[in-house]
Amino acid sequence: MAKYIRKSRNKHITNVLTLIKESAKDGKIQLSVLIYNPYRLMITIRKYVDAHPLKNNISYTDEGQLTAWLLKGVLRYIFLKMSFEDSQWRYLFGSSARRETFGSCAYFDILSGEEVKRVLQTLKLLLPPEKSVALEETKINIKTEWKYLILYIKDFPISQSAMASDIVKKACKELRLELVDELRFP
Amino acid sequence: MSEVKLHFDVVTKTPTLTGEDAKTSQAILTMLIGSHMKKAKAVVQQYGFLSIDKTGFIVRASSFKGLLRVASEYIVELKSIELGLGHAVCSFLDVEGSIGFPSCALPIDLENNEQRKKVEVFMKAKWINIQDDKIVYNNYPCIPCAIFGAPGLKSLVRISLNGDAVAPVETSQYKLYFFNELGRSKHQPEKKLNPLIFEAIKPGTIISLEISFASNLAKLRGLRAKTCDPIQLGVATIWLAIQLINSGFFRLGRFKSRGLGRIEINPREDTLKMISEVLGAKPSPEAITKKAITILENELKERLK
Repeated sequence: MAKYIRKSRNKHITNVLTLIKESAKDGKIQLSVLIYNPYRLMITIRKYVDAHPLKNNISYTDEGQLTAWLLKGVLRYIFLKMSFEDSQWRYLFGSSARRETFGSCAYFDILSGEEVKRVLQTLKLLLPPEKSVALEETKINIKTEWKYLILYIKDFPISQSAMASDIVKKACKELRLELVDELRFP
Repeated sequence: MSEVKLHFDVVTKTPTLTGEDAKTSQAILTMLIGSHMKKAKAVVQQYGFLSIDKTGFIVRASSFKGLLRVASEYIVELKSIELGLGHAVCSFLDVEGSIGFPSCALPIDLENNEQRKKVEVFMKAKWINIQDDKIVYNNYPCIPCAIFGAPGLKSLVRISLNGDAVAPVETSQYKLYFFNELGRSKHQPEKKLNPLIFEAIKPGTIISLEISFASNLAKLRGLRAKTCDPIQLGVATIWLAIQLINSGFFRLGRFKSRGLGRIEINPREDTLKMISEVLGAKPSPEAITKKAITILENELKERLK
């Protein structure tokens, strides 16, 4: 049984790796930034951690960083839960201990509203004018006192109908995260 | 153009897993089994970037060069795609299946069969033309290779940490539990859980980064820039790469996807002034970014027209 699982995992990894390589060949890999308001999620995870004396042993005290660390695991589980057929999705977050090794295609940050505004200001300058106008509106609506989850995704077609960012969006919806904005490079 | 030396302060925003121990030059990640650090039970994996020895922890300038190169490659390719000019960076081009790796190299030997195949790929992308057995370089080497070097092509930039190739930094030990371990923690005593323990550079650490541009360009072989001074192109591209790094797109070290390795590269006041002088822009980050984009776009249009 163990052998079967390993073979099956390797097949999934190979499939995803091939997709990434093929996408890179066509220049289809883009970077996209998805911004969420993670307020509800943070409370849930905080409760989860607080409920156990383990908290004392976590020297990684910053709330935002801790949540970002946990979030990757949470998303993996959601992908697994969604369906067996799509379990390869979790390899979007990379794999290192298998036959084929590849890096994660999604990064996380949990930032204060003020920090998000700074990031958006920097990105605005790098984007073409038509995109930067829309970005300015988002910037205005960002609340300084809130915290935001930013997902940076190297987007690529993961199946004939779905992009990597689509499945991350589905997973975030499961977590009841509210999508604030989505930027694409280019 | 006279010698250009730029000074930046790199600030780590989150714990950063890069560097190594000066004594052993070896990196170790320890995954503990149970709650005690018993050597017999510890599973030690070699990773090349971590250390459990607290003394003499160093970071390498080459790590920053790699980071700047990757971000530069992305920004150049991004601008080229935006302008509808196709691929502009060799690591994005499929050169005999080597996507993701730089493939520019000098000199080109047309009589070499293996090189001939590569040349055909570059010709198809209009990076090279052959006229009467002479090679005309349009976009070869590509802009990142022209700045950061390639086989047979000396780097235009030298990146150091306060003048040295390495710099000492202070680290902290972090003990983290993966999500499944937190799940198990409801039912298991702490000693039965498997934490991940790692040494990382503390958030808030400031590392002094120096980027200097070669002053004697005559000795440097290869196409550098078509529309402006090569140093100007280099400064513009690196400035834009730094903006992407500061926005969190590109990070330093391992576990980036879990929120680690986020850094900010801030120019010192005199450096900001120098960059504005080199690029011919007002000394504000916004004005410099706009000017840098113009310089890069003009160069790309000329190379890939």
